Amino acid sequence: MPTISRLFLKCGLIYFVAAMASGVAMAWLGAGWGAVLLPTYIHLFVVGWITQIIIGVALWLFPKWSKEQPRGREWMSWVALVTLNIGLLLRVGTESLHSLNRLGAGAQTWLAWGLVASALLQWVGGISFMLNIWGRIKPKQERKPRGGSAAKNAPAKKRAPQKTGGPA
Amino acid sequence: MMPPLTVWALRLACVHLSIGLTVGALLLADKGFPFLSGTNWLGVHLHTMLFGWTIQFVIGVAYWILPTFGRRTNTGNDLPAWSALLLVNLGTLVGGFFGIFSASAFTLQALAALCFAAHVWPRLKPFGAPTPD
Repeated sequence: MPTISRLFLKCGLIYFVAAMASGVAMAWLGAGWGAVLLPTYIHLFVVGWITQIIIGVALWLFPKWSKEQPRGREWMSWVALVTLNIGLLLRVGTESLHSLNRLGAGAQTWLAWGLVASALLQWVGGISFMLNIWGRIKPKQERKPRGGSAAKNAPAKKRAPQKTGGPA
Repeated sequence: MMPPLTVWALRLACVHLSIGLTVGALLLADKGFPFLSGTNWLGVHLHTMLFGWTIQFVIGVAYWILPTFGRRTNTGNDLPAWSALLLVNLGTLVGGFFGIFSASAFTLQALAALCFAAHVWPRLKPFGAPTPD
């Protein structure tokens, strides 16, 4: 499995545990906190876990882009990994605090900019993945016979008998 | 390489991903600095990301990698699989245009699930199972 896929899958597993933990926190803290934490919980689960697992497996298993670059423009996958994860962490750090609205005006503005940055980073991550994987979604191709049409029409060659180690 | 249905499903899923992601980013930025007017942005985000992207991607990959009947190209009755693809996309469009809890959108998605299940059911078979005639 390529390094980039392993990292996506391991990040996905961490978010899976984190999403479940925030679900437990929501259940223990009651309905008020549940409403505040719900968007964070959903996105930890859907972006952090499901989407990253999909991306990791797709980068690993989809048809090769080319012989020289089997996984396409790999730098785009790295951009996707870094921006998606920083964006999601930024969201976790800012969204709930911002919706609680208990900080001063200055801090609230910083949190609002944090949300904008998180949105932008996640957008860049998703679009980078999409652009890179597009070229690896390839239709089935007919296999060309070796040697072109002449070889196709030629009678099948008999296989040479294999040496069995008998007397020379 | 991938069969045509998988190519269509995955490319459409990518299109939905880019739309859903863009709307999602706008919604998140809107939490910080409100600027979006009251239309069905959340409906577009939910339907494109859940049905258009995630579910359509799963359908495309499942159609590609699940066991076939004898030859690798024999995937059985393809009509329900194509119907599922059509219904998922139709449902996503309807959900995007007519609201997050649009009954017709969810009905279309339920029919898509039924069609997909009908196609995939016979392909979930053990190794070496006889091919049905």
